[in-house]
Amino acid sequence: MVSLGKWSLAKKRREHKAGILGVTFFTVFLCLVIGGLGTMAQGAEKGPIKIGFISPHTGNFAQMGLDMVDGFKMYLDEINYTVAGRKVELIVEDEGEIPATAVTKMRKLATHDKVHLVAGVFLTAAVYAVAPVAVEAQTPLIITLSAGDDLTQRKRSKYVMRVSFTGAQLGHVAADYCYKKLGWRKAVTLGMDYGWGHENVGAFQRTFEEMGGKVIQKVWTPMVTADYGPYAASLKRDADGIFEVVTGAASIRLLKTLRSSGLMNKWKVMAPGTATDESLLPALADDGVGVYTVFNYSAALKNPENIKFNEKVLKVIKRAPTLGMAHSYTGADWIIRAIQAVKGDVENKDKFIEAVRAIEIPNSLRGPLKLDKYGQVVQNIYIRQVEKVGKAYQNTVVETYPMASQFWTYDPETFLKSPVYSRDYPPCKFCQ
Amino acid sequence: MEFWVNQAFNGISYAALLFLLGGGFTLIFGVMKIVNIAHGSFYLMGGYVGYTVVLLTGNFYLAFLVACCVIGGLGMGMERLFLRGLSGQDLRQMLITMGIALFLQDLSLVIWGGNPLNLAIPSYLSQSIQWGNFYFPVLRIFMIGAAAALFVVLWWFQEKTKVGAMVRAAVDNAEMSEGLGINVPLVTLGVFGLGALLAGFGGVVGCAFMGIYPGLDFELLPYAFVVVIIGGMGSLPGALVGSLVVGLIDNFGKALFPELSYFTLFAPMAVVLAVRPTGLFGKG
Repeated sequence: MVSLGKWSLAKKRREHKAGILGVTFFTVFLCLVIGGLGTMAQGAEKGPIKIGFISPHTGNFAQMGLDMVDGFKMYLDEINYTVAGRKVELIVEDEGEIPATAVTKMRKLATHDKVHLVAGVFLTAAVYAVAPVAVEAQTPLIITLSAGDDLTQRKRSKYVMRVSFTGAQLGHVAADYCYKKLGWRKAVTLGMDYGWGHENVGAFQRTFEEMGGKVIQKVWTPMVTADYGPYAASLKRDADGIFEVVTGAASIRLLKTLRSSGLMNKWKVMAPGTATDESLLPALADDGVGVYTVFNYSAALKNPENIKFNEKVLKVIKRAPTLGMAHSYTGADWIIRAIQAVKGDVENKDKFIEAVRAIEIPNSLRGPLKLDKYGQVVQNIYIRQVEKVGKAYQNTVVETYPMASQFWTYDPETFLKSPVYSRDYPPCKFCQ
Repeated sequence: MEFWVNQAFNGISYAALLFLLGGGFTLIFGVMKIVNIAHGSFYLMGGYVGYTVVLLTGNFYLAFLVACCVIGGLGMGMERLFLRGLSGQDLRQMLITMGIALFLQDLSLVIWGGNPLNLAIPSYLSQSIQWGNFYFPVLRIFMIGAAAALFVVLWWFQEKTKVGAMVRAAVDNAEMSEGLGINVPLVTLGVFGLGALLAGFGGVVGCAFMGIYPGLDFELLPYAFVVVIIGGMGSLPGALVGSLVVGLIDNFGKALFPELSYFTLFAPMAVVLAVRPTGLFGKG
């Protein structure tokens, strides 16, 4: 037993040595093989296409941000995260509540993750801050929800494209409808005091006054406004209606205040569509009924694509469809079509950007879409009215402005010579 | 005339909501000497609990009862489990309330989602009383009434009852009170619960008035700060006066100089801090 023990010990030692050698060789071999495979794989198909996606997951707009991600993922699921023979990798980042957070995330996506393109972005203030970073890093930015007019106007760049809407694209149309169909001649405006409010109100005022109307009062409110009572009480009563630009939870407070202060008995309300987003309708309930909104989409649109989309959302995401989901879905569709057009070669940025700009979708769930040469989508703009159908509320489409441009009926070059719509432009000539 | 009446009415009704928030805040500060960062979360959770109760039972007043019990209990639990062990260490206690606030905010996002929710109120509350050219929303009148009633009850409790006297003693000198046989930890527990309860009550009112959503807690907290800094930390009448000042200034400021709304809100706070750092009713 003892000798056997010694022998086995010696054998064990030998085996041990051999084991070490074996492991070393095996490791070296493995490294060589994997390394070789790696280079081979790179030669063959270049790894996945990385798409960065920025949307708010915390704070006031958290739900909107989650809707955006869900809509985007729903589309990628449909194509099984594969396009033109390459896998798609989605990297989602939180936009946060302040533009600085969004900028940090954009930097991370561009320099650390080395994404091939970035989509999403919600807040106008955030997108104005994010775009320069994208341009600097030469990363294509395809805005799928945010506005921020100047990014496809005076501050345009070949790297920035937008398939959502601009503030003015909605404001111009709203003014036309209010003047011609609702018969307004005097209007008051109330807007959130940042880009989104400024650009909507500015566009509304310009078109409304060029037709002969008068904006007699412009009120700007902070983004965080707990009580709209004081603003509502100070509105000039001799107007025919109010154009308001208030988004998110604050929209509920404003409309409730307008209702309970008796102003809605007297006035019609017109607002951009974010004021009565499908996600807000249940909370608005009867207070929202009758409010007019102007937007590029409504979940109540009756085209076959949108009906299919609605059914799919209820099945996959299991919530009622919202503008956030619809915009992301269309945006993803757009991006994937462009990747197909370049046969997956997103590394060739110039070719890819050209492809994005050349895409035309004749039958999206929002209607026909194409980009103008400034990178902004030309699309149907709908006038909608909140209506109670059975127990639920919806944005019923009452009028369609087909293929409205961000420049409305103005000549783009002349339009671009005047400054971007802002707090003080156009100046309020008829304010008392 | 119409302008002044409307704005004053709006201001007072907003002050009522601020009092519900700031009243509890100042009570807690008075006894525990800590700034309860989770106070906005109590308000938020109160609103969510109230919303859920109305959704399930349809009873508006039951919502108040349940929200008060749940949030009061939550406050007491928090005091007993997390703050008691750290008594005397203000900074750590404050950091814990901060952590709890963040935790509750995310919890509400998970349970109730991020969409703004509004509490369905009985139809008689959602109407407006029209009187000549004036519209007075009944809900705002209800808010003013509720806050006024609560103030009277709390004031009576603090000034006229024996338990109230114990609370005042604990506020003024905790060690001396303990020496006299007052169970200060129990008083602290009770006051913390009461403060949370008030915030929960305010949350239900606020949920009906302006809706709730994750993030509202930190939007409202600065208002509570301003109210108690102007009124004086730890003083109930101070909280009342503070909320009236803030409510009215905020209203007239927004109506008369809408561009300066943050300035008109925080300027009085700066002035009070400079001239009388303890606040109008605070003790030095």
